[in-house]
Amino acid sequence: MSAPAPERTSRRFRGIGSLELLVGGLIVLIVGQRWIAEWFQAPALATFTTIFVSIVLQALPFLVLGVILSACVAAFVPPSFFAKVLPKNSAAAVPVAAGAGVFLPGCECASVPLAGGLMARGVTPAAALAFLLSAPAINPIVLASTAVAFPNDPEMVLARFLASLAVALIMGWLWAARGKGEWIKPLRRPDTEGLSSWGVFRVSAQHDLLHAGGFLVVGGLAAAVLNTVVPREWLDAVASNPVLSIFALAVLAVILAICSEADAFVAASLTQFSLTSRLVFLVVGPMVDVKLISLQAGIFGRRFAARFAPTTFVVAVLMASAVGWWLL
Amino acid sequence: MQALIVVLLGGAMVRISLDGTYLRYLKPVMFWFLLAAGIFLVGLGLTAAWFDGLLRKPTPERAATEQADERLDAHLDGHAHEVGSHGIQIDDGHGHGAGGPRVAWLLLLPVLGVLFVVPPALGAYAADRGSVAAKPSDVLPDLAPGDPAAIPVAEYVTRAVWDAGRTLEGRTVELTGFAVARDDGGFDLARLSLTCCAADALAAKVQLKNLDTPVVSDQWLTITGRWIPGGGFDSPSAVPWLEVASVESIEAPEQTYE
Repeated sequence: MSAPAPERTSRRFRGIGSLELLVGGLIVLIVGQRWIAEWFQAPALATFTTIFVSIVLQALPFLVLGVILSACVAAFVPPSFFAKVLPKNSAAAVPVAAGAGVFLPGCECASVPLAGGLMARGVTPAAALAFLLSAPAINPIVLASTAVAFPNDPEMVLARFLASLAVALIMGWLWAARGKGEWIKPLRRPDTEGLSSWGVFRVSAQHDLLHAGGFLVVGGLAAAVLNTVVPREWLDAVASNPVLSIFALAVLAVILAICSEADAFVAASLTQFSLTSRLVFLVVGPMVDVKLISLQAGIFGRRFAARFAPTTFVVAVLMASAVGWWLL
Repeated sequence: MQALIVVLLGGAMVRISLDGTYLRYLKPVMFWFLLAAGIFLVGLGLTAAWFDGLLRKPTPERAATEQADERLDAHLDGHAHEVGSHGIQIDDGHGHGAGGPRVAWLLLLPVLGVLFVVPPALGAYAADRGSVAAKPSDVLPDLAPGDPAAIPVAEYVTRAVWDAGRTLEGRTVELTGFAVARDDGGFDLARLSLTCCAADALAAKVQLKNLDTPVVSDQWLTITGRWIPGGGFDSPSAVPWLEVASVESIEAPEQTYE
């Protein structure tokens, strides 16, 4: 690499351009900070900014955790390990992976990059996706917070566990039966030639972080806008209709994008809605929301997210409604 | 180049956790997570800047990284081209200008948000339109001693709503929160609580009865008063009543959430 190729030169030129832009932008911001901060004084805009910053800051440590775990998988776990612990057959690997979700008491932001790391390490996509869906939904912390939020309806915990596990299994098997590998963008696992384990760790971590982080910001912006502008009165209008209320809370779960540890308390507060529609809210939220869709698009590509998220949404609404009708 | 984004992001996280600003957006328990993740990101970004040659001359390892990046970019470019030729989605946010995805530049938005805009903690606007929640509780010990007894707004709401005010009868309480204008011209005293972050904030609200001091929304108040029945029972959306005895205007506390 002593003589840079022409392509390399043009890339470096672009790099200098963006650096100048960055510095210029920072100067403008430093000079104009007082005025800029004043624009954000309006209550709606201030609330929007607070919620945006807060969603991103809350998710980042967990995203970093997921990125670290994923990079550890890439750098230190040999592919043979997963071949040993997971059944060869994808259909049989799905329940094992979905069950393993119980042991990641984290949130959805950590599970997306981790699932990507697992896939890159040879875990069958069906199993990795079942894990991706089940981990944030059925771990002990989430179930405990659900129990605390619904003290008078303990069956809610069981219903949430069963419905979420069912969705993870169905989506895993559906992928094993119908999924196409080309929907997932080629996972960017840097060629590890010439790099030490730590080099692999560093390159994977930075790459995942830049991709997933950028998309986290997109999701956070969308959630903050919807959180601030959609009037809550719309909800009250449909609460009494059993079918519309299920649909309304499913959509609310998608646009609010709150952590699975917290959503039970919000669901408990939506007292004008039936228990079944609130169960739908709890099952959909950790699996499909604007922040997650964006993260999935970042890690697995848009073609994947465009198919996976709507299908998961439909399966989650159906399963939660069925379990709610049976148990609640 | 994008290593700088990682350093800035990590630096912003370290800064707001150390200066306490993070309390406007997150729970106190998030301090260590935020600080640790911030330090990790600064380290990762600096290491990347070092190896990617922003800070020094090329080395064999850097050359290997660059080669890996180029092979991968070529691979991805081929992929993007193929997707494009099918007419589906051409820009999937993975243009690899200067060795990273363009979408990563968006990570500067939260950095600008916390360093330049510094949005305030949620207040009356959010309390007015967000979820109200009287958190149920089965175990209600006697009210803390003291006259008045200083208790959190959420505790007052729980005692009044889920226990029919049994433990509040005959006592004077002191509540601290901010005023929220009601549609009927009166005011509630509210306090927000977070479970994870400000997106899931729940409001505990008490309707102020007999309030004769003029207040405005978002004004922080310490109020003493007595429980009177009303506002609903055994429902998370109930807003119990408080008969106001005294009102004191205060500065917003450092921890605005309960």
